[in-house]
Amino acid sequence: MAWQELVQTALRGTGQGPAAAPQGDGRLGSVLQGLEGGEPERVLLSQLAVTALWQRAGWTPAPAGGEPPAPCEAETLPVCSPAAASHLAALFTTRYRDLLPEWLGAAAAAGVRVPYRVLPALLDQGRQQRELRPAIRKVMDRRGAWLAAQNPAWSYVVGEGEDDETLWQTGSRETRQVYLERLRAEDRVRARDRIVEAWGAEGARERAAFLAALGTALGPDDEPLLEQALDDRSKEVRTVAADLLSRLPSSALVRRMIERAAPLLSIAGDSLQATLPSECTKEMLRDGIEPKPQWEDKKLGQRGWWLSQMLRTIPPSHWSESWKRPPAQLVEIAVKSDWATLLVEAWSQAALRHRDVEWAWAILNARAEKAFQAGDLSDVLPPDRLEAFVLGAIKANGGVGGKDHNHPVLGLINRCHHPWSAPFTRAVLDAFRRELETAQPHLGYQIGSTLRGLARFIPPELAGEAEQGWPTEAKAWEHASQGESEMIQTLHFRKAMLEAFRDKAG
Amino acid sequence: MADWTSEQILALAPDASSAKAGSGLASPGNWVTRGRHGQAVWGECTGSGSKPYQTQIDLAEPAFRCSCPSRKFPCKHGLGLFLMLAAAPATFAEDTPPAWVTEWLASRTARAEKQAAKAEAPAEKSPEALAKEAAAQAKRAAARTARVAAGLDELDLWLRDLVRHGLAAVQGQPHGFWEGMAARMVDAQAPGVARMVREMAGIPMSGDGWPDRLADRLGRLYLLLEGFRRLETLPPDEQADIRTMIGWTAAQEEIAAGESVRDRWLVLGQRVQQEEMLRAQRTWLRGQTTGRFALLLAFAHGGQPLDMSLLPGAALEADLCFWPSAYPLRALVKTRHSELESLEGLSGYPTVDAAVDAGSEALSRHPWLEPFPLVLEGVRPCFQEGQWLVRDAAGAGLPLSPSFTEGWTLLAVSGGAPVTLCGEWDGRRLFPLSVWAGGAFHALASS
Repeated sequence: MAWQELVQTALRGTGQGPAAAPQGDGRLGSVLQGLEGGEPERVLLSQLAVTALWQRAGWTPAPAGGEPPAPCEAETLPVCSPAAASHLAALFTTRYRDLLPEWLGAAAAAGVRVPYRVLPALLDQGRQQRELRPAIRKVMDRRGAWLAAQNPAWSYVVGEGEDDETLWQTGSRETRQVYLERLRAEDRVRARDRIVEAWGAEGARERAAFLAALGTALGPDDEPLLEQALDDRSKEVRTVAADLLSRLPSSALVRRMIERAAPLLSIAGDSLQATLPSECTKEMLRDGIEPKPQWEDKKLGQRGWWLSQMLRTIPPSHWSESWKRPPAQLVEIAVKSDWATLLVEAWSQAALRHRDVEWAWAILNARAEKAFQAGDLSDVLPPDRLEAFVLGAIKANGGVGGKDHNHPVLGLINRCHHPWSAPFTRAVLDAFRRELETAQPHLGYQIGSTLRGLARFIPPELAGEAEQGWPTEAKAWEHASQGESEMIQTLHFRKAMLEAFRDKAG
Repeated sequence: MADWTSEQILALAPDASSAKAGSGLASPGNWVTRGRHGQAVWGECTGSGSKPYQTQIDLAEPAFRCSCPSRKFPCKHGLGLFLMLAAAPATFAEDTPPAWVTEWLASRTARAEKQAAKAEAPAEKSPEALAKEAAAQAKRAAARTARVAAGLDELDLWLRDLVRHGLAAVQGQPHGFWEGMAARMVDAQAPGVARMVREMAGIPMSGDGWPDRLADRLGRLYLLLEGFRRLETLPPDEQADIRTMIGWTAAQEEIAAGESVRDRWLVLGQRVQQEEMLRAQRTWLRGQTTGRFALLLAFAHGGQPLDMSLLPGAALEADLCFWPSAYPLRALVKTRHSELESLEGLSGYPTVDAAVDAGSEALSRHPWLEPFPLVLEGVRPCFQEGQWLVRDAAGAGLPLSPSFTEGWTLLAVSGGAPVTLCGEWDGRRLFPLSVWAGGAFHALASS
């Protein structure tokens, strides 16, 4: 057509020699014809001018092709209030993004849905943060599901159980591992079946990675596969199997460990005797016991290391039940014994692995001055115990700060990621206030950081109280004030955010 | 329409770090005092200095002022104060404003009165003064015409050179090739032409189909040159269009003195585009009774604020004055006769064909018109083969611009039902600005 010819001529340039006159029909043709016969550059430019306009004005729509999506059904939930909607929008554009789970939870509890225009951002967030998905499903209502069905990036919504056969058959190890983990969360038996199917054909690293997926929703019915995997030719696989089996208190592996360890420990009155195992048998190796200690475990000696590993596997409740003594007493006895280090460390690991609250509590309280190195063990405690423990630790430590830029109690407080009770909040904030009066600047900065991070867990109703009483004249204050003011803002925001659900004007 | 949401407030921020800092300051702990009185809102914010910063807002526009040293506009204190007001208006007690507030408000009223007086002033001059003024104006116009003509002659030569060597050769040219000619056009007092030249600079690098796009722009520019050459032979409206495209527009005062069109004007949509150091804001209006479209243009240099008083979704009774054109669109608001209300519905073309025809008809009168406002009724958004489009009841499709990023939002609010969509049409693609769906108006983010 005329336009294509003209563009070709323009690309080449008129300097290359005369070009053929462009062919046009009807009116366009006669106008183009009328422009012929001058200087080649002028002719070309004029013809371009006319034809460009002709093209632009003459654009006609093509049929759209395909089918438009079927309209969405009516909603089942009322929309949230405008105030709540504007909070939600703010969550995506400001530093309050961490509060999204709280907003979603409050909306789900209030039985409302999100406004339509927020759905794309929300669905995108759900793609990145798997833990948000259940909450998103509750508040997106039919429109959200309808929208997600049309974007492959949001296919997670329509059903995680949707078997992506191709992913499993052809994906990379990481992709297949993620697929397995997702499947395991939805249908644990089917996930295990997949692993069994693939077992023979996969390499060692794959087998280890897939077996590890059983860690989610682990149950006694997984034992046969795991026990079999203890004999796998790959060390990596055997390690994973042993680790998982040791988390099943009813498993044969744990029973074997108990059989091995029970004769080695005895208790009489207030004293505890331990005998070290004389050899590391093949059966012990098979059950995951490492023959050579590494790093700090070297201090236990080789045979001590074997005993320690056994004790780490056995649920600590076994000892309190079979000796009929409360955990606190046993821990006290152990601390006084010759084997204090070995026993307490091994029982800590066991309490952690088996999430035994009473044992964790006993150990944490016994090691009062070292409790701050407790780290993970405090995660085992339910909120009320954790709060009691932390308050105890603050008291024992004489405050929040430590020595030489090391502040374990502060670290412990930082790990309290549960909704704080009002008394706990008041006590901790008071401890911070007192500390800031005499603290060095760097501790002030750390306290400020902590406050910023804890704003999600402090009850928002306490926002007013939390603002008061800070030692603004203290040397450390200016380093803490930024964190403190961010905490207060977050609390006010959360308060407003939650209040917006109380008057449902949707 | 009176209530600002935090989203709208944050949209006023000159950049992302200001928005973040502003929301950080939106809490009572930072503000030593605050209060309001009618349209004035103020507060004192603790800052890094010894004295708190005095921040105030005139809600009528909104206009901001702060004693902090920041060059940004509005500064983070202004944003924070505004956000706090939106979130917790009850915490701003009605109060007598302090001196530093009344001072600023007074100076604003004084400036507004002075400007109004200036607009009225011409009636005061004597006939001799008026004649003298007219003569000086004519002399300036003649000088400008000569300068423009000289510049466009140079451009003409340059364009002929360009097509002699061919577009293929242009691909290898450095940025300075285009920039040099654009600068020459600015010198020749033809900034509109400069913009057209700069627009072409990026095309050779823009990927597939670039020769077509460049040839299209070349043709359009050459048409303008030819138009200017024949300027005196053309009807006055077309002359006005050619002068406007060159960058020679009548001043606001002149237009405001002319005839006005009164109607209830609906604010359909708004788009802000960044050009170098300049932000250009297009606000599209449509008269409810007359059905006429109008375009309000505003510019801001650097960090200066843009007028945010007419947000999409508003409706107001007003007198508009239009710049002369063969297809009049650009206008200014001369007088407002009502407060802002919310519009209650949109009407538009029932088919894609009808809409595109209207666009073509407009081009036949004003060949350089871009973009063209479109309102389409009964269309459904679809995503096909990686592209967004809208389809009408007859199944015709209108592609959406690839720089439109809110396709999923559009689909979400439509729910698969037909909606009324308003956007900017460039002859090939539609850039949606707003949509009426499910009985509600939604402005779509412009970027």
